[in-house]
Amino acid sequence: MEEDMYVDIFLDPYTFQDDFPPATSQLFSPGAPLDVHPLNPSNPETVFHSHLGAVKKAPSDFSSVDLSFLPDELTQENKDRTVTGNKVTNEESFRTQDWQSQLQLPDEQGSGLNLNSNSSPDTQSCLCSHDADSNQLSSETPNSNALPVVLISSMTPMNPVTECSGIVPQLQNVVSTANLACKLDLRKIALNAKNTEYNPKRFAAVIMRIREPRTTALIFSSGKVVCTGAKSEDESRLAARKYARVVQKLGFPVRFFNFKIQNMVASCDVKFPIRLEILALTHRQFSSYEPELFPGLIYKMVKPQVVLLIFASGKVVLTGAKERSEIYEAFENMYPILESFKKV
Amino acid sequence: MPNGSRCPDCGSSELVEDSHYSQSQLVCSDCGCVVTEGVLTTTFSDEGNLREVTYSRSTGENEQVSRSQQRDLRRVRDLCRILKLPLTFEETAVSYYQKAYQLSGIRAARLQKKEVVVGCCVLITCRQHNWPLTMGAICTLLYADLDVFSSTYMQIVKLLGLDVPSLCLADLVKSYCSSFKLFQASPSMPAKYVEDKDKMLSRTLLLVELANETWLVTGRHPLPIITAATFLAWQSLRPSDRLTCSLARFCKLANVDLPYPAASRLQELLAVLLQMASQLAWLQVLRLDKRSVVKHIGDLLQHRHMLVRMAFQDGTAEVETKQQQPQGRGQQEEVGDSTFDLPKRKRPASPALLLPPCMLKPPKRTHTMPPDSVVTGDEDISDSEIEQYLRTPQEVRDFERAQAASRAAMSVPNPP
Repeated sequence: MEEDMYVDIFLDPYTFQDDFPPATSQLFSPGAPLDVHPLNPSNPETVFHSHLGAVKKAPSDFSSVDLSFLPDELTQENKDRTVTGNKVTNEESFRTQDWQSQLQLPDEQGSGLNLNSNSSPDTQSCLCSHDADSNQLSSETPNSNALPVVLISSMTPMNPVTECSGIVPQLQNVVSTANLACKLDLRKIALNAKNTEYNPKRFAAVIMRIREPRTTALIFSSGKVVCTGAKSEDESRLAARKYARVVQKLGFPVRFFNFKIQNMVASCDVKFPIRLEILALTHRQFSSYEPELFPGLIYKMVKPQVVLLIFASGKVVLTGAKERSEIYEAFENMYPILESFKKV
Repeated sequence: MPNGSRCPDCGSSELVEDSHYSQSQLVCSDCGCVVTEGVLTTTFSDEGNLREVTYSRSTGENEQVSRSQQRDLRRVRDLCRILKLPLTFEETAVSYYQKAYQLSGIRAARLQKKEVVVGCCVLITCRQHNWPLTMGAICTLLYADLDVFSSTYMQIVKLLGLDVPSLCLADLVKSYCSSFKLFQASPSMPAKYVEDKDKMLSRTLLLVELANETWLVTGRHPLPIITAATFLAWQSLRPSDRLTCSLARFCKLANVDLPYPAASRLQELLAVLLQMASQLAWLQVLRLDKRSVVKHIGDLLQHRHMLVRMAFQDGTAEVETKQQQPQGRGQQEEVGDSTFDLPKRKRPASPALLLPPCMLKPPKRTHTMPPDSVVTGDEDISDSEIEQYLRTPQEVRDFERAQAASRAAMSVPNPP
């Protein structure tokens, strides 16, 4: 016990547990020097995502920080809704199913690779890492009946993962784009399809919805499609293909090009409260904590490039990833830091 | 013409007085050498009569500045003076605005956003000097939307690379409590409601510290908590006369706004105090409730560190225990807790969990997660599934007719 604690303190460079003054004195007299840390400029993905957020009707809690205008009670209700969803998703049976579905990921990726003849080397390297993870998982399965653990080796030795959290972030929203490669008559689509909304004075795209997978798409006259609301990458691809089929049934010579995952949002619960004030003080170059604007702490991780929304209740929302492994890696990087603020 | 003076450069005796703005200078008319410089104002009496011209009001500063920036710089100074900030704050805020104006994203912004940039620069300056100014106050003064303020503030802090410290709660408590009209009698304020300012302030500070230790501050707006703490402090200093006064009436009498979440914060703070009161032996026999516990706030605050440790078990340990026992969901009694030092004749109730309030509330509805479908993304899509989304030709004609009818109905002019 003591030895583990010392090992954690020694190995984790983010842990400054011994240097913590009491929370009261830190909060009531912040005497930290004003050092200037230049931050990264906002990337186009954020602009793209906020543009999507303004239009889409799909429910996605905390996928952006636009909740700042809500009063405290409404924000509380949103958090309660998230609590409701996550509590069910974090049950062990679902976790086991997720674990099994993750084991099938390399096969799916393999079949996907076979279909796409022009795959890039990055995809192959990603597949190799998935295979490695699969081997590790399969070798460990007979040994222990413990909770399923996703073993993602950290890229940088500066942040060694001293312990696995045993928590798997659940995907809540996947945003993808595709190109149908022909000009579309949006009036014709809106007239002939039941599942559409089209108001060209408000937004220059048809909003289309399908039931399975339950998603919403924006279809532009240029042939571009933005698909939101899916719960996995494969669901997003299936949904985008269905939207293409609907448009094809209306007589347009569509094809299905350049399918790409643009953003993934995941959430999980670490099950312990977090002192956001101290986390903001000790990681101020990555953190933005303004309780007057937003009840959570916005943590911009540099590698992988993921934004985490961390709440005092222990709920964590991860957004801005383009691959599932980025979400898992970001959470495994963040979990030791959050655990160090548990005891304060 | 001075007597016998000569230019040190060319030796000419043609020296003339030439004023540079309000500074009188002795200049050689042959070579232009400035022989002597006078004082910035001609006489001390001019300064005494307030006739000096500061640089910010002179014509020099505005030669290179656009009209838009001139107006906004004036707005920055006006805002600092309205808030009665020190003069150094004004200069810092002006420099931040000038830096922000260099950015293309800010210079090309609309007027509404430029107004918000003015407020952001003032707020950043106040934060860096621990001056208790809230974003709500700035938005009220500028008639700005908090949503626009939020995005602009984040953008400026990021683009200018500033490190802005958090809002200092203690200073905010002091300045906000001073704004309550409670400290001298008036026709609208009965004498029994008047309170000493220092006593009120110290008790409110202790209550806010207690709220911070018990997770009532994290992630919340600060003003509702301070309002609730001020109300409790005021009530507890003279409970016999003030327990009948409600929070809304208190805010009306004190001439401050009542933030909407303040009532919830008040209930949460009272619940914490009740838990602490159950640990004091001479209060256990009194069967306190949320109304009567106010009388004993002084005792509770005096021993608040010990009472918090006794009354609230560490929530993390309890959560870990729950995790280790996923089957048993019922609450299990803690047997032989060694935390309690006091001798106990009867065992008190199991201590409550020290967790944020949102973790203590049960979820409002259980969200049944649908079972994960095994989707590969390459499934065959049947024609019948797609055709359910399409309209038949008859439906298309009906839809067009309905659209035309609704369009015609909207275009009919209203009869007078």
